[in-house]
Amino acid sequence: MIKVSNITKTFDEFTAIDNLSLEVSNSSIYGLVGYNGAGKTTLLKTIAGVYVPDSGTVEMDGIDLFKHPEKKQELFYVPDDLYFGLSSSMKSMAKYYKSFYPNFCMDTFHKLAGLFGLDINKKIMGFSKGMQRQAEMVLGLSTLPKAILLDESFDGLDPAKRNLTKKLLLDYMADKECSILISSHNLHELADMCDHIALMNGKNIAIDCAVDDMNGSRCKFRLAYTDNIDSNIFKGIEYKNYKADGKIVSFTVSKNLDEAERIIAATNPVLIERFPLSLEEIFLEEMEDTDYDFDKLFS
Amino acid sequence: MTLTSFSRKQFQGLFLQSLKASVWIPLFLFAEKIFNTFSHSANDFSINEIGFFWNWEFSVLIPDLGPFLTIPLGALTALILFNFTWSKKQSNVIFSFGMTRTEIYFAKVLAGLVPFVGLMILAAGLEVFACAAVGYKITARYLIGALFIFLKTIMPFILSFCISSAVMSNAGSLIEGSIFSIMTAFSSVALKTFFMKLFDRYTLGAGALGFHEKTTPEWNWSTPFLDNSTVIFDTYYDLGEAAPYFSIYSTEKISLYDWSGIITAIVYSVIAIVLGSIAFNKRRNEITGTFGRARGLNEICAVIAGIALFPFFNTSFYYGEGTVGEFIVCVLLFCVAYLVFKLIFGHKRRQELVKSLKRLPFYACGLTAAFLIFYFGALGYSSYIPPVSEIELVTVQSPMLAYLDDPIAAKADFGLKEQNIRDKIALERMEDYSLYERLFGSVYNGTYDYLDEYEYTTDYIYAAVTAVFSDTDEINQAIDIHRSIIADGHISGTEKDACGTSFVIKYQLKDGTEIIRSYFRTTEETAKKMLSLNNTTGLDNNMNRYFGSYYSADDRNDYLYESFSENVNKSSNVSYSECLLFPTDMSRGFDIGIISEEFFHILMSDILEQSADEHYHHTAEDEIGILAFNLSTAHGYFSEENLKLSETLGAGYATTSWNLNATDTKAIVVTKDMKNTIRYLQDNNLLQYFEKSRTADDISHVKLATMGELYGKKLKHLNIPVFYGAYSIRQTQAEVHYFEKIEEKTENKAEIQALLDKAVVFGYCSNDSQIMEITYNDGVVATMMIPAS
Repeated sequence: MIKVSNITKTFDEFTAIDNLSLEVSNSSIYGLVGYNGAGKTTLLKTIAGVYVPDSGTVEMDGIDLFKHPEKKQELFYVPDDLYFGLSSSMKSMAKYYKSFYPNFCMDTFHKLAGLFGLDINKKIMGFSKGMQRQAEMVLGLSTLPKAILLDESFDGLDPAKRNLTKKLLLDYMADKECSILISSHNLHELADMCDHIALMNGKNIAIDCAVDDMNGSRCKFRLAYTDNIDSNIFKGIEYKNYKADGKIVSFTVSKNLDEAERIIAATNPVLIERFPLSLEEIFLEEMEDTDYDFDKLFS
Repeated sequence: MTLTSFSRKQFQGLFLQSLKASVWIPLFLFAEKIFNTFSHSANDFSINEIGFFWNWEFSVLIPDLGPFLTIPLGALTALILFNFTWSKKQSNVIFSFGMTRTEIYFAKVLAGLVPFVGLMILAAGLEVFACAAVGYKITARYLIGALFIFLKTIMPFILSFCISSAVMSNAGSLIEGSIFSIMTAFSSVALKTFFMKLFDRYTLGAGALGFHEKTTPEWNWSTPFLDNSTVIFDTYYDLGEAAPYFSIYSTEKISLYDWSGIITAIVYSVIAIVLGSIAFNKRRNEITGTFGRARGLNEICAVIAGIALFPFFNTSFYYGEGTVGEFIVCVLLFCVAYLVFKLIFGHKRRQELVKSLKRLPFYACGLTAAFLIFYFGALGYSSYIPPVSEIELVTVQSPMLAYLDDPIAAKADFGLKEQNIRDKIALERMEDYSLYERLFGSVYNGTYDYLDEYEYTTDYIYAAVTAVFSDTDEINQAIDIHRSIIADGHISGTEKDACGTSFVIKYQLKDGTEIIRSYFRTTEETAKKMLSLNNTTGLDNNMNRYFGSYYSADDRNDYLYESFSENVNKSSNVSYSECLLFPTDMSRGFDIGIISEEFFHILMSDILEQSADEHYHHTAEDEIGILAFNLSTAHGYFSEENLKLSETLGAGYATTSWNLNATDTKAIVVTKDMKNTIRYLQDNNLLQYFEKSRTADDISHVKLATMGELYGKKLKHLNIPVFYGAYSIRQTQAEVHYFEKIEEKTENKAEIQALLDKAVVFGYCSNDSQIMEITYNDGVVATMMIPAS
């Protein structure tokens, strides 16, 4: 289990993460979503020990990683920017990592390399970007970690390899009961495999809940009336994205859905439709702070 | 296997991985040493007359550049091992390992040091083996010498590596790491120069000691890259033909001071590693790959830049005591250097400059505090006088003791007995004294010091004329003057009663230690007190040494050569060859040839009898004439040809004209009290050559001015308040520029004669005395002095 408690990280005067907390349980794949520059990579690097936070703690299985960095022998960080030695092959990198990860298993390494169809004797710098990511994934999983941090690791993978990687991670998680924290800006990707999602919005986490719960945590109402109506009738409902198109009204609600439905019913609409929001819709709703007037942008 | 036990394996893994990347450097150095060992041992088998231990002269593969090779290679090793800190990709991997930062740091450091030291030990062992194989006895003495050379060879690499590791592992980029490593490496030199300049220029009593070769050994704390040992490894020539190149077999000992460079290097290396490790633990990886974001290093190097520039300008163009104004300028220059550094090396330059401006007042205060400490006595240094009970001897040197004058640099044509004298006027020579001071950084008493010419610096305690006191009363007399100087405090050169005389006093204590203090300037009152030292036996005894024994022409050649390499006091002890007689109007000179032993001793006895008053405060009537003595050659090399020529012709010879002031000539003004000398000259019909031939009728006009009116601000550079008259032909009058600004002149013959009647050619020149420039009808110029009443 990875537990992040009140982490704050600043770069000179800029605060990248402000008092952030999250928890990744064993046998769990935790998705970290956010726009570019939201702080996902900063958080992962802080957990991995690449950055030293200004305050806060990171624990793995109850052990503070900053005070006991040897615990990181059971954690593997796959960064967005991969590093391989100039003339290294997968085999030489495997030997390299074997020195630093006590559980590194050469059998697993060979099997995974075979699964991905990678030549372990060939120079990694000669691989394509996607193949390099696969190589790093193979090396990472070969360390048999109890926790894995993946930063945009599906970037550059073809659909087949993406599916293969997902399947491997799911199987590994189930088999080893490990904690996987994966960051991406691709919601669809994460929705398929994560059981928990956190949306990072700037310095902190805006939404943090199980995928199943998220689907049911918000919904969109579409209502039809006989006459044009005023939005005041929905007083008591915390709604967003209110749109009125004649007698048809729509808005989203993220809290107290049943209470909201009751209030709506009291307004006697001709039609009530309730739709769950997709992750993308939820994401967009959270990320959008302003309505852009694109008409005036180029005039 | 537990996580903790696996950490050892991780450490080992990182160590070995790192070692592979950089081991080619120690292997290269090892190969070079081995190759040289085999080369010169093969040579030695055939010649079998030389000993060695890593003798650079035998380098065959490449010239063994010593520290010029090992220092950059040490830095390169650090660069290779710590380049991961500048790469975000590598940092992601290495900092996410399950290792503490301390473990990462030391794994890298050991990877740099262990193979190098190990291979060098192996190479050293092979060298010793080779030495034994060619037949040399491996004694304990040899092994100590070998250990010394071994450490001297490896420490520059180690120190360079340690400093570079500490800096590069905490820098943001290669350029930053390289530049900051060099600056940090030289920080000790910058600091030493900074404090040395403050001490030398602002501490009363430090004088120009800093510029002089130390007679006592000094701990090498500022240049540990370079060994400053004075030990034993003499050249072939010194040890004779059959001697080994390295006198490892000599009886000289390697002193602790010789080891000091090595010890300092070890200490600095340890400090660098420890500080580097602490900083590495706190390293912000966000500086990775970015120039100028390593804030701590940036600040340290900016201060080093300022401190390095400070003494460069603080030396200014003058030696001697610094002024408060100069210090203020230097503080401003420090600020400029600091800000320029920040401008070039700072990240987010505008913000950084604003922050730096806020820090500057603190640095300025720090510099000022250091200045004040030195200016107000350096915590007791300036005011310290050892108790009389602890004093064995006191040596004093001052122009005020300059018994022998040097008014005239005689230029004479070969073959002439009577000669026209051409010379620069006394005032210009006075500036020349100051010029000499600048050139050689030491203070002269007006006589020529051969050593300065060749060794560039000298301990001027051993300059030609000093007084050595062992008598308690005379010691107290010297101490009284010293106290008076201390009480005078800092004196500006433009103060009305300032006297540009230097004073150096050395206390030799009973426990063997020495305390030296030197001063550039005193008050007139103190300067007059110094004159009383002329009446002491301490000076008289030294005068004996100064004149010394009478040497025959045959002895002189060997003696002069000897004097360079032995006790420098002996250089004073040189006899004179040609003796020239001049009247006090300096109109002509007569060469009487090499003086006899009898005359020599007569002259000596009169000089020793003469009191300070008779010497410095006589009147025009007291002056009879001038005796000038030319040494055989300008530079102490007495060629046979010159000796032969002077003996045969009894003539003078050309002295080198580059000697602007103190020349080979030593002269004495013969005064009425010197009765024995006068009698000798009379008996030998030589007094006639003291007869003056010039009167007021031969004079076109005279000008009068005080030293202050002539020298103005340059008065502060004068170091002797003693006047020497001179005589010069018209064409050198271009050099007589001081009087150009004096417009008033006297042409009235009666007035001129009245002045001539009061004028002296030598004497104590107070600030109220007047210098008289005499322009003769034929254009020749002379100078004399009208003493203050």
